[in-house]
Amino acid sequence: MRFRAVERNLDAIGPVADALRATLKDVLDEEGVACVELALVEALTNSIHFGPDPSAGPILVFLDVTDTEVAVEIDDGAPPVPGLFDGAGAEKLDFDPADRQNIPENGRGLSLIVLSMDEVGFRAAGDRSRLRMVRRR
Amino acid sequence: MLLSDELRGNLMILKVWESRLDASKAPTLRRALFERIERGHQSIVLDLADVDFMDSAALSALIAAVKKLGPVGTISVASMRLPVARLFSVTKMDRVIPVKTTVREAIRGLAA
Repeated sequence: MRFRAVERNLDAIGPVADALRATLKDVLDEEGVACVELALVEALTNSIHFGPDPSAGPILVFLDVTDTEVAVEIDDGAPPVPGLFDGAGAEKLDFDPADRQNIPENGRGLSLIVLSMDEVGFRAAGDRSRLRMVRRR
Repeated sequence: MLLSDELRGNLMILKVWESRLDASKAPTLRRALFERIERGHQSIVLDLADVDFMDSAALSALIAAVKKLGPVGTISVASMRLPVARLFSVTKMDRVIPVKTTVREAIRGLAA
């Protein structure tokens, strides 16, 4: 089900995330909703920063809720990126707390997606590609 | 972005009056923290009681401020809601940014 069309600017992400939260509040527990919301926001932010420019049209967000899972898909008009999530996860987020000056300021988005959702990957949808993120209920 | 600050002795309490801290707000948050640090405030408590969402971009602003403060200063956060607390836990930021249940507890901790 197509959920929202999101303009390619950072200010457009908040309302979509709020709408997602409202939709999922009776579907998942508080932590589950928080996880899906964070994954969506991180993915949309990445698309806006690194995806096609605004001339490609809005980013499409799809939401599918079944008895067993919540699936969020994003179509930003870009081709799939093989290996995009390779190495993403808890290890990537580790750092030395004693070495504050070298704590990375960026680069956590993909790991947060992977750690928030049960499945993350790309799938074909017609002649386009969608990032698919699934949280099991 | 709505912020207010209150000085308690040498402690700066910076209250965030926003429900979302995301990439659209991160530059403003970073500037707000940097301005206070450049004015000489070395002990800052960020009151997040009204924030029910925070992402990695906003976290980047906090990390930048921690680095700007250097070894002498401290930034702590207080009154985190579940989504923000989860972000801090998963990213292990609670190892470098003290997490307090309330602003009062943060004040006691920084004053000690």
